[in-house]
Amino acid sequence: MPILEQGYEPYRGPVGGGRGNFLAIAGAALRRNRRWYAWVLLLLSLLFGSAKEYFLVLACYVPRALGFTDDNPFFTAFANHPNLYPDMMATQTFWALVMAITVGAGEIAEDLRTGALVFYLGRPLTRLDYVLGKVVSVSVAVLLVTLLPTLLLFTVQAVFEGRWEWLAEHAAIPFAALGYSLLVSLFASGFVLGVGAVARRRRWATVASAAVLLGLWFTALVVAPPTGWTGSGMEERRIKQALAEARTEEETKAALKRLSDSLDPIGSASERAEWRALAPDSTLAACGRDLFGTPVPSNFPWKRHWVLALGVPLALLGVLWRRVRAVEIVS
Amino acid sequence: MTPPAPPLLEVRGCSRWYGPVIALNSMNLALGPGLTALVGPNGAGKSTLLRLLTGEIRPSAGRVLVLGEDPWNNPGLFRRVGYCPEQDALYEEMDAPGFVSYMMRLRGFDPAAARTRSEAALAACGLPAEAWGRKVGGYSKGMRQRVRIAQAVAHDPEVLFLDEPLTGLDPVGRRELRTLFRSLAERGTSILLSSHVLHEVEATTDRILLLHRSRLLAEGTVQEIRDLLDEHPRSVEVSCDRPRDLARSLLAHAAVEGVRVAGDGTIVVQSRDPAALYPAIVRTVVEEGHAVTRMESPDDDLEAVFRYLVRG
Repeated sequence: MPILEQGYEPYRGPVGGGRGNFLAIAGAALRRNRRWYAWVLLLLSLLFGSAKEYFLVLACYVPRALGFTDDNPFFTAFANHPNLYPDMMATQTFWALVMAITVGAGEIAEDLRTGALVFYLGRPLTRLDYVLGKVVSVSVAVLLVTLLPTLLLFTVQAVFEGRWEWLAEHAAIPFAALGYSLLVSLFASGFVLGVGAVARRRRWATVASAAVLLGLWFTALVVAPPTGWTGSGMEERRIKQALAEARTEEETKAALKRLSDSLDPIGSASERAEWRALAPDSTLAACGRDLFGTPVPSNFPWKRHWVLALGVPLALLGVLWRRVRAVEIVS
Repeated sequence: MTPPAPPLLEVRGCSRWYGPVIALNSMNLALGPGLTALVGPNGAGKSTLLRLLTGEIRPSAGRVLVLGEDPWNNPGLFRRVGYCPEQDALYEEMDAPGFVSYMMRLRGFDPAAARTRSEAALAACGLPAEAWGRKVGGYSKGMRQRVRIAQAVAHDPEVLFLDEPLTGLDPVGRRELRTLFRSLAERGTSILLSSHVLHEVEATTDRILLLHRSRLLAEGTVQEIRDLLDEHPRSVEVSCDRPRDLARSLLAHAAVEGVRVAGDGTIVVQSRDPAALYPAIVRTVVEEGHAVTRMESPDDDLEAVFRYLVRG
């Protein structure tokens, strides 16, 4: 006799679907992480990650909009430089990683510590739902730091330009920004969730993730500093002088190229650029250059940055996958 | 003739070990509807059995079936199953309806239905409505326990697993929840409740599974299990005005194996034939005019049965 004909109360809840379970997990994680320091960090990331580019674009277009006829060549050159968006996103990358650590590093550790994982494992959920939910929760925080200000800047610039031709010429930028943001999201979530899953307390997961990130970042900075950093103020003065003395278009371009190299966040002009790959933000920024198609010379060996940018998070998500199961201590 | 109904929960030759440690040893059991308690001391294998039944872990040998299906890697089955784990793992930042709603969302309910069910379940579990707006982090242990149970019952499961569900509750709370469990069982839910507190189990149900050192020691009602223990004489305590006289008289009965004077007017009578013992005591008391103030068998409670079993 079938079980349900034995006088049991039949289950009357939903029986199908479940494809959006990861969204419920992501939503709950995001709601729990709406802490004051996450908002402060978002503000800082916008200030230090995007404010410079906003200033350059506004300094170029606002005088025009106000009726000033003489464009400032410095601001005009920067606002239309092909590296404007990839460099802005490269700077955002560091902040995106910091944001990911802040909101995501403790997510798995806390579930492991408290045993909340059991609540998930006793539900009609798969491990994929759980992992995907956590990845999406971190990714949303990352996208707030990267994609949102970038698309907003693009919109501002498009409005000031006010020409369909300009929009058609630069139509690839939003797609490249989206692609790059998704790559950073994957890397950041894989990195923080994977490293964080090794710990069993939110605090230690955060410390471990931050230590790994900063350790790699400082090592890369010492071993292969970006060109401009070695000369610091001296290099800056030289470049400004070269720009001021530039008489021809070629001279101006050369000076701007020098400036661009000196500020290059991925240190592609560094003599030991391959060591910059140690810093996750540089590796990701190198991928960004590829996505934006910007013609900047990179000393990075071929496609190594892509192998790192995709391989590291996937390997760490593999670690996480192994950790997401019932934990029982038997002595 | 109708074939016998398949059991709701079935464990066939199931063992689970962690390296050299055996957590569950060759267990066989089949459970039907109603409320069944899983009893045993800490480390007996109760939680391991529940984890096997909820698909969290896989048996090292043997098979586990819930509602006729293997729970391992079978998320669809858990739509029909409720589970209240032992861990106090609530999200501190959420309020109670928010947490239970979230758990219902993970079961596929839409937000409105999840909210309605969560509020109904919290009310049924006795969490005061005034506390619903507060964060779970500020709840007492008993309130947290009610939230954990609410998330397990809110979707009206066919099978309900409760791991130490009454821990941390005050006597009133325990009574309320016992009533809830019994009413769920009467409605047709099959409940397996684990506990290491014997008197608590005894007050909840008389259908028990006794686990000890990773093995199923006995199953049935307390009485049935007690009746299996033929080698242990049944004790009956009688308090009266002339205990030594009563002891002397009772020793003359064939059903009485021994009598011990315990002091303060009480004697402990031992027998292997309780069916004959009780009439013998009553007859003697009436005939000799003893003033009996108390008569009870300490062996009839679960604690005593368990003590006998684990000593055996």
